[in-house]
Amino acid sequence: MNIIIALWLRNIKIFARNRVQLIFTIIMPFFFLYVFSSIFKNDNIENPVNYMLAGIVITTVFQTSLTIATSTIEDIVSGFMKEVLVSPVKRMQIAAGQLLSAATIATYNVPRVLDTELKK
Amino acid sequence: MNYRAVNRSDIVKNIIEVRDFVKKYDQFTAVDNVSFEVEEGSIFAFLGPNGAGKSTTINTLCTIFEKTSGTLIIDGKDVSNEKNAVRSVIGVVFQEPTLDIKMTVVENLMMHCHFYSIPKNEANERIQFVLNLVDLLEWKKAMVSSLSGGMKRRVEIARSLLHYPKVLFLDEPTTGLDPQTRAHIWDYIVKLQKEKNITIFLTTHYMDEAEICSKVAIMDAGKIVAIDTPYRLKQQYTKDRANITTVDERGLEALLDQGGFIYKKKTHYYSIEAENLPKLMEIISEHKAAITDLEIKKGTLNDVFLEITGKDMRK
Repeated sequence: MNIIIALWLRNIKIFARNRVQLIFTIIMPFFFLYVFSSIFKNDNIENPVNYMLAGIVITTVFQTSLTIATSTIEDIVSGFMKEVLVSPVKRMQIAAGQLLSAATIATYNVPRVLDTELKK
Repeated sequence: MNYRAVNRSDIVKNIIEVRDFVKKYDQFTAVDNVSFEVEEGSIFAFLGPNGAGKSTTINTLCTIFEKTSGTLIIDGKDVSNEKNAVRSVIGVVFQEPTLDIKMTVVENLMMHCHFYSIPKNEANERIQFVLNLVDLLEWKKAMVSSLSGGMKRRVEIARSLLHYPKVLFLDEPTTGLDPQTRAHIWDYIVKLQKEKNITIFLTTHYMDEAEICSKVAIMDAGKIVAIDTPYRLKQQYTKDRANITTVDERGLEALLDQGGFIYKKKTHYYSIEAENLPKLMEIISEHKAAITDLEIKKGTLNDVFLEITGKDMRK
C-alpha cells in the first residue's frame, strides 16, 4: 500500500511541478468551451453550455488522464522504470500507482471545469 | 593448492551460481553456455570488449531479462522462479542512468526506501549516510536534472546502497567519473565489501579497477575465455618485458641473439621478453656504456586482456 501511495504522490508532484502542462490542462477546457459555443450558438439555443457540459467534462477527463499516462512512457525512456522493475515491488502495485494518480488528476480537473462553467 | 581450495569452499559459500546459462535474441546468441560462481563477500569483475555479453548476463541476474536456458541462483534463490526474493537481496547500478530526473535527489532516495520497505525514520538516517558518502549532502534538495553527469552517477551508487544489498551489481559504475570520485567510490566499495561482507559483481573497462578484484572473468563473444585471480591471470598470460634504448644497436642485438632472447625492435627501443632476468642483467651490465634508457615492465591485466581477446578494449 505504501508503495502505491508513494508512486501516486510522485506523479501528482511531477504534475504540479510541470508548469507548462499545468497551464495547458487549465486552458484547454475553456478553449473547447469557447470554440464549441461559438459554433453551436443560434436562435433556438440561447445558452449552449447546458448542452456541451457533459462532453467537455468527458474530454477533460480523457485528455488529462492520457497526458498523465504518457508519463509512464517517459519513465521507461528515462530509465527510471528499470529501477522500479529491479526492486521487489509487485507489478500490480506499480500499475495501481500509475492509474490512481492519472485518475486523481483527471478527477481534480472536473469540478474545476464544472464550477467555472455552471457560473456562466 | 587443491586441498586448500576444497577447504575454502566448505567455509565460503557461493552466493551467485550460474550453470550453462544461454541467452538468445532471436537468432543471435548473446551469451553462450556460461558457467561460473561467485564466493560470498568477494569482488568479482567481468571484463570483455563491448558486445561480449557482460550486460546481458548482469541484466539476467537482475531479473530484467529472461534467460533462454540454464540455471542462475543468487543467495540460494532461483532468478527465474523467485524473482521478488532475488530482487530484495540485490542492488544494481545500471550502465545507463535510471534516476528519476523530474524529482530531487532526496525524493529519489526516499522513493527507493519505499520500494524496499525501509521504515521512515531509518530511511532518513540512511539517506543522510549515503549522501555523505558520495559528498552530495549540500545537493540533496537539487533536482536531478540539474546535476552534472558525475553527480548523477554518485547519486545512483548511493541509492543502490540504501537497502544494504547482499549482492551489488555494478555495470560500469565509474565510467565518466573524474579520478578523485573514482578513487573515493572505490575506497568505499572495498570498505563495504570488507565490513558488511557485501558481494560485488561488476563490469568495467578500467584495468586498474579489475586489479583489486578477488576474481576476474574475461568474456568474449558470449563465452568466458578465462577466469582466475588477477595475479594468476597475469602470471599465465603475460611476461615481464624490458625496454632498452641503446646507441650501439648492433652490439645489443648480437648479445641478445647470443643469450637466446626473443626481442622486437620498436621505433627507438628494443622490447625484450625478460624471462631469464639474471641473464638479461648480465647483458645489460656488459652493454651498459651504450644504454641510454632502460625500463622493466611488469605484465598488466591490460596485456592479459589483449592477449586473450586479441582486441583493443577501448574500441
